[in-house]
Amino acid sequence: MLVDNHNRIHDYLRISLTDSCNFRCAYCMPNEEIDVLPQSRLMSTDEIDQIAGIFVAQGVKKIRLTGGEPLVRKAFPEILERLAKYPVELTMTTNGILVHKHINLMKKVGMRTLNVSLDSLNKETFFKLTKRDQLDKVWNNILLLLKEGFRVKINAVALNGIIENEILDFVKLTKDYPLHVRFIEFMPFEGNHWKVDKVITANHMLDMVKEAYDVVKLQDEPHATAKKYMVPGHQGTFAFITTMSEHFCGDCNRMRLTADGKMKNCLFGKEEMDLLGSLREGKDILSLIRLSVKRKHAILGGQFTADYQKTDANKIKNRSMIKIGG
Amino acid sequence: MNKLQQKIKVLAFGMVADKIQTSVIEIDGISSTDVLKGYLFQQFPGLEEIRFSISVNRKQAVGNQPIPPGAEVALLPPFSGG
Repeated sequence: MLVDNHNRIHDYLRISLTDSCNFRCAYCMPNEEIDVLPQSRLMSTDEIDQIAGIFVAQGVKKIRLTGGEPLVRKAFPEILERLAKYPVELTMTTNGILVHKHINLMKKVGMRTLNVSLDSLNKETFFKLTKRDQLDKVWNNILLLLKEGFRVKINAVALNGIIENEILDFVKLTKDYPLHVRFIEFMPFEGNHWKVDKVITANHMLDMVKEAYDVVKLQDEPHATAKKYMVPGHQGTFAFITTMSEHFCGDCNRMRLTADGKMKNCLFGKEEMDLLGSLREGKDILSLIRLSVKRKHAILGGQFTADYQKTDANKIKNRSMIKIGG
Repeated sequence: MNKLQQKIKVLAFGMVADKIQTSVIEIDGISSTDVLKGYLFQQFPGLEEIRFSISVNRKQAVGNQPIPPGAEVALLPPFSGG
């Protein structure tokens, strides 16, 4: 079992399959020349399988595949099939655009839930954000997932200037569709131009929703990052991920593996353990995994305090979101 | 406390409302969610077949929870919870 110095059991691993993406969202991908990892530096299918196996043997119960966009990884089907042999809940975060190509396999290997990142329901805004005019395709794939019986969560980063106009449209979606929409407070990562005044807090968003709807606070599960609500009578629900205004590090169970095989013990941590490098040298990586977990900070990677308003984005050392996997 | 304040207002949605054939009822003498369920199951045969959640004053109740006088209670049909 992987337990850190704050008595938190770590049983959830997020594996980034690639740092490439077919979208170009500025908050995730810095506005600079795109510098994608060469194939040789990515974990191979075998290496992903091998490293995941070590984590599973240590008690990992849930694996989420992330990116970049995980479905642009050519070996995705093979990787998925290899990971499906482990006794874990297997899930994924995707931008949705390629879901139709892989949905049969996802069903076959027993994937039941999927998170789709979708920050706008407006065609023009979606295009501006992603630099791709593909909202219809994403939406059709969300409908396809629902039709095929997947539980679908929509992750919307609460971007100022956008969410104010669209939050009610997102909540309205939950009336007719059994979707779980999660509004994520805007977080600082390298190159994403984060500023304190760009953060629209959960409380602010909830007030906006309450102006139009009666809402009920739902019970949150252990390890949940989201605070759940619903409009009575709606088929779906919505939630806020309050990373900035109210961190939820207290019962964190997450570990991350970047596409180049570095382990991060926290989304906001600067420290990385090079698991892939050691694996390729034939060294034992379990000791590195244990060390990484032991060195985990109590809150927010030790890089900023619980009061997000004091955060100086320039002082945070971290990767951009696309290089971590969200 | 007068009689009116002791009443609770029960709002029903979706298939729960279909089953009890109304969307609002006012009841007195109900002190907890278990008592409420007992009352509803007795009054509306067939309701037991439906899974539903209860919220008390706009907060989901888990397990048996007290219902204060004057509370607004909602009967929520199954939803996709994330």
